[in-house]
Amino acid sequence: MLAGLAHAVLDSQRVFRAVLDASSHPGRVVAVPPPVETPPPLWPATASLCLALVDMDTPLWLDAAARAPDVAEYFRFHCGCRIVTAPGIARFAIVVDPRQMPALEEFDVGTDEYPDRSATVIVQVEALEEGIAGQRLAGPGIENEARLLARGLPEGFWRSIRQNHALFPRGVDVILSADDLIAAIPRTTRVIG
Amino acid sequence: MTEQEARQRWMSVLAQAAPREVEQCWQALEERPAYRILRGPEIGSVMVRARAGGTGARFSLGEMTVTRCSVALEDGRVGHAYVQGRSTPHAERAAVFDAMLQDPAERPRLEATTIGPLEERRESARRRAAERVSATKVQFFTMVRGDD
Repeated sequence: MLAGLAHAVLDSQRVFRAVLDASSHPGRVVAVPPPVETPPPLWPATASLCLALVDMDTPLWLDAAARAPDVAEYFRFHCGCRIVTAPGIARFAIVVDPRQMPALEEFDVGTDEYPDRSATVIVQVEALEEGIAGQRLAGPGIENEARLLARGLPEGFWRSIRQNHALFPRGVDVILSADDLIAAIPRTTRVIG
Repeated sequence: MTEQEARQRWMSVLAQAAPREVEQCWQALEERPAYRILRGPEIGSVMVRARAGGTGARFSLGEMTVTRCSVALEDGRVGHAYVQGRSTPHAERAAVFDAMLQDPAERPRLEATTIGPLEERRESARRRAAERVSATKVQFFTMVRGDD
């Protein structure tokens, strides 16, 4: 078994702050403090996000690539969460292999009355860069236009983000992670071009 | 005794021993294993729940301060401890002892040097308290009223 955040309270607050920063500025690449140890094949940022946000009230879904015994044991021990096999009942989801990821509508998109009861999907990519190249984004939290380059995403990914945005106020919130970096694409973000 | 009952027993003995006693046992070890901290030691509170008479409806008795710690030895064995109070060294030592005791080869030695004596001390303290209390025991009984 592996160790989680070095200082459960302070590090959780730092991670939360980083997620807040990323979500309020979609497309911005933000560094997340890493845990002491990370079970492969997760990125440290993915592990930190879950250690800070997941608890016994938030079922966690792992894709086939993330379903290693070490990973399940790590989150059950540190978060006390349930690991579920159906994407539709999870509050948080980890996608290690975006090429095989289910359609975003298969996750819980909330209801019109309670759009907040939706899932947050963490998608691991190979690398994240902001500003110069990549997908153009607009919407709340972006002054004119943001550009986010995420390597390792499959062909139809940005199309599914556009469909997710069309469900507003329902929809999932997506967080991309690479190494110790994250970038958020909440449901409010529009994909341009 | 099943493996689980055996572990429950030593975890209970370690948790109920005084922090000072656990520390003495730790210092008395010839070889102290290397270990990594998995969690804690951290102080928190738990809600103690009980049943009236042991069989009644469950109710919350009150909160208790506990300190917990989890460690892993180099061979991967994981030890846990939840102890009453705010002693972080107590929880850490108890967790390492728990991990060590899971090795059947190490168990007899630790049983003789640590768990046995700690349990003996706990039982004798319990007996002393019982004796002290029994001297002041009051027998209540009701006189039969001469109604008939």
